[in-house]
Amino acid sequence: MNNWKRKLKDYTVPEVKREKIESLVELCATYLPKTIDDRFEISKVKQALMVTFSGKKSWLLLELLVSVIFLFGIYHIVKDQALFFITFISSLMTFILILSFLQNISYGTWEIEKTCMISTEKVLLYKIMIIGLLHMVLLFFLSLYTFFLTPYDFVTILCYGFFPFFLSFALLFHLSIYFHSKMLFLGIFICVNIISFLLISSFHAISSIALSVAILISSIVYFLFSIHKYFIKMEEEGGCLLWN
Amino acid sequence: MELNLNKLTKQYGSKLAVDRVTLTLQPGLTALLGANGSGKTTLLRMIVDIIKPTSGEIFYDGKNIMKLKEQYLCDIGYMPQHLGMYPNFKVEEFLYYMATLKGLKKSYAKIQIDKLLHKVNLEEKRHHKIKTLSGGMYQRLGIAVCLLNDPKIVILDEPTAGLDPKERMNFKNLISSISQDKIVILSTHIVSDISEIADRIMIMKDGSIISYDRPEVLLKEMEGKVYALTVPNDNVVNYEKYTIVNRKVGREETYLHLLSDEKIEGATLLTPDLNDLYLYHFKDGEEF
Repeated sequence: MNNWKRKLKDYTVPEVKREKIESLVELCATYLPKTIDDRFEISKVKQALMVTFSGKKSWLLLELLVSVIFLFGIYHIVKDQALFFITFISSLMTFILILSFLQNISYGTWEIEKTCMISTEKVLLYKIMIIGLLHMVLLFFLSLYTFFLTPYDFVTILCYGFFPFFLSFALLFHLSIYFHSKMLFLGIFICVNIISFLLISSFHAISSIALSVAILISSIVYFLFSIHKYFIKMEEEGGCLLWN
Repeated sequence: MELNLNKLTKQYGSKLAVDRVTLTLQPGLTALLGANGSGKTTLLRMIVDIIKPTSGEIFYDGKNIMKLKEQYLCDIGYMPQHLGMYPNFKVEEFLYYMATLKGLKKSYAKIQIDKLLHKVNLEEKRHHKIKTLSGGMYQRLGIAVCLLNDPKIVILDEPTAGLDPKERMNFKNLISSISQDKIVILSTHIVSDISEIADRIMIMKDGSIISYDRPEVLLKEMEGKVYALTVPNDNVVNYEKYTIVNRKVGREETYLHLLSDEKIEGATLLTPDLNDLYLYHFKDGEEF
């Protein structure tokens, strides 16, 4: 009896190692039921927002910076050339957006991104929808500001502001079906500016609202057509990004 | 859990990259061995649904993956041959970005990221930029990305390319530890990467699977085909018609380790290893 008591007195509880607990928890976890709902976000809206705003957000800062430059410029310097200025600023802002979309070109991350639940195509669509919408809201306010400071009518300003946005995206999607060049978007930026300036210069004298609206509608139609064609081509090629 | 490939074929113009591959994959590590250009990457890209097959189907637990779509992608982890990650992202930041793309809930992503950074021994590099990582660390981060969604099917396309022997050994142990309850396919042309850890070996040549079985079965088929002998230096030329696995030239004599279907007089039979198996199948001057 005394021997038993002595043993009990001398007995010390062994220290439990952290690794042991971790491995035990891991072992238990493997037996827990694991459904898709446990791990994955089901809400498409939440998914879209998460994807759009994950990663680098320098594009947002740049967009705001360009907007400030525009506000300053239109007020102090180029009031008379407002249409040209808004076209240029709009295409510059679109260029920043395109850069944010295409950051996966240079590093070949697309291959692992393609095997994700939210594939590269979906990321592109989500970004076009959400960032595009934000961009249009911003442009809308810039156009409104220009309207109060210049003699041009609001619809014309709006059309020339939005025209480069749709034209840039339309050209990007359309041309990347045929050319797999990383320099494509730089070319598009230059192209869009030249085309916009030419168009605006040509029709500036007429200054008809109907013509402005017609230009805008044609760029929207071209945008929808090229994005549709792009996704069809993507599907045919097995979904690889065409510029890779 | 089972992955069935049924007459999977991919044709690029007139070139047949993958030719009617039919096989069943089960949990465990399956090594895909093949020379460069044998169609390994194309086959793996079809399995992870990056490229669509020209013909044939893939069934996951009896269901066509084309119908499963997102449900299938939930269970896929892929590490491509040319692993690209944004160099200016921090390690943790990139893992969160990928977790978002994989559609993971933030709470689940946090648990997984902590667990995986510990597992791949990158906890200290958590806040470092990807461009500052060494080759081995970069590959380990790739494995962490691959395992973020706790996939049931893990596809690794030449994951040890460019690693030094120590990193290669660590990587081998890591892969072995994850292959218990998952279907792991590891593509390589480096035999030492899969020796001792592969449950099954698949040998691919010219777009077709020419061998698929347990290593011991494949090695048994090689018995009686591996020889060793020592010959005078000026007599070596007579043995060059055989596949020479190894030759050690001495002052007067040369030791030869040969592969041959016919018996070589005076030579000692050796127990075949996986290197012999690989060279036996790719003896026709293909790149090793």
